[in-house]
Amino acid sequence: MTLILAASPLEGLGINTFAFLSQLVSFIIVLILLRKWALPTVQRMLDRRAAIIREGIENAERAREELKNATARAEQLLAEARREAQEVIANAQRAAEREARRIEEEALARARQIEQQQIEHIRQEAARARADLGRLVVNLSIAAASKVISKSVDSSDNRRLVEEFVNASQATKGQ
Amino acid sequence: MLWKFPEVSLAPEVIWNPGGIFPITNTLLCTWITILALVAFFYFGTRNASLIPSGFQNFVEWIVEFLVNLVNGVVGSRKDKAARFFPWVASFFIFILCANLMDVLPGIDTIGSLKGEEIAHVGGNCAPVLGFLPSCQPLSLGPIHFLFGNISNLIIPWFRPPTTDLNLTVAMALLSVGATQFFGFYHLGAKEHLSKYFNFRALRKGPMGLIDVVVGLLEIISEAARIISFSFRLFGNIFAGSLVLAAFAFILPFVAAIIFIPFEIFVAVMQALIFALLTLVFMEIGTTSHEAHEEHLVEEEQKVLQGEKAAA
Repeated sequence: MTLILAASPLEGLGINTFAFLSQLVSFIIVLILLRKWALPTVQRMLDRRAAIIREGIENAERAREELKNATARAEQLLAEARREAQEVIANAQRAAEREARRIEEEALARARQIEQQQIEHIRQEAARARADLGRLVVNLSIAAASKVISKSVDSSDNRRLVEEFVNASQATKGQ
Repeated sequence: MLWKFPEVSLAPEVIWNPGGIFPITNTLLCTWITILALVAFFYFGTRNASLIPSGFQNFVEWIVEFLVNLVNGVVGSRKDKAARFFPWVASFFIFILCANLMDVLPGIDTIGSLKGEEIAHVGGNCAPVLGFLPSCQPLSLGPIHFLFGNISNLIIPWFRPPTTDLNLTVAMALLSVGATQFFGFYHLGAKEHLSKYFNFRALRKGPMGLIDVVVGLLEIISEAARIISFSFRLFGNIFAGSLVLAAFAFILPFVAAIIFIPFEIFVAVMQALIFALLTLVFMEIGTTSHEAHEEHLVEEEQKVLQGEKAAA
């Protein structure tokens, strides 16, 4: 292994003015290139992306906030609607109950009216039946009496007498 | 002997001297290649850049973002300082990394021109290699020659990692320290910044103030020492790495590279990071005033005292 060293320490290390200046200028070129062109280009892209990501996050945050508000508003509206529906149902129930009561009362009144009518009708029928029965009794009585006395009785006079008797009997019975 | 250990030269070799006035060394050529590589790197990394990065654009942005975060992490909330320091720190890191990584590329230190005179001189000591190859004559394939045996190290390499040239590392160290001083003057003002080195006001405090004066003067030596530490640390590590690769290629050809090339890539990244990070830290320290530093210390002490009281 051979180690090449020169007489002067700086020369031995390879340091000389021309090489030093060449390297210095070369590195300054690197510095200028990176500072003016390369790094700003990359940084612009990084900043742009960061801005877009920040904007996206902010938008998402805003959207989440809006969604939260909308959900709260929807829940509020839903609660109001539910409350209103309950009120409507309660009102309807009350109205239905009122209507039912009214119908029931009307039905009862009508039933009572029909009942009264029927009673009156029955009463009339009974009176008529009773009158028919009275006539029938008179006729039967006359017929029976004719047979008993074997004598023809003047029909019109006797009839009037029997009817008076029957009516009187009924009147007595009615008292 | 199949091949000889390569010649070790601290100084870069001149490979071309157009007109005898502009000697181009192998490291300077590689510096220019590095510049072209960086231009290509950023050109292809930013060409057709899309908002959703992929492939190479992603890699370029990852590196730049890493450096932005590094600077912001050290500087803190001072965005103006971060914006001023970032181009320096990023330039140092990216350029040094790219230059260091040249060390592991095939052809570096191994392709070059023949040292004609030396080959002729060694010619007398010809010995067979593997029984049939003459070690004293290059295996010629037209304009291309493969060197073996005694003459295998008689080559002036065209390509050598730029950071194995002290001219470059010293230039970068000077720029780093110079920029740190510039930012110190810019942010603190001449009076405040110079008082770090010439702290004669401390004499008002009495004899103990003399210590502060001496410490201030020692700061000047410390600043000068930074140039040496910056330049020799980078040069030494990469030059040594280059030698390690050469030595193990000589001792254990082909196999050793599997172990040492990844190791050299690690060293290349670490050295670039160290140079950039130290520059950043020195810039941050250089732009922080004594008062702010002392106020910070007082605040810290008060916090500790409050903590002790609370604990009691």
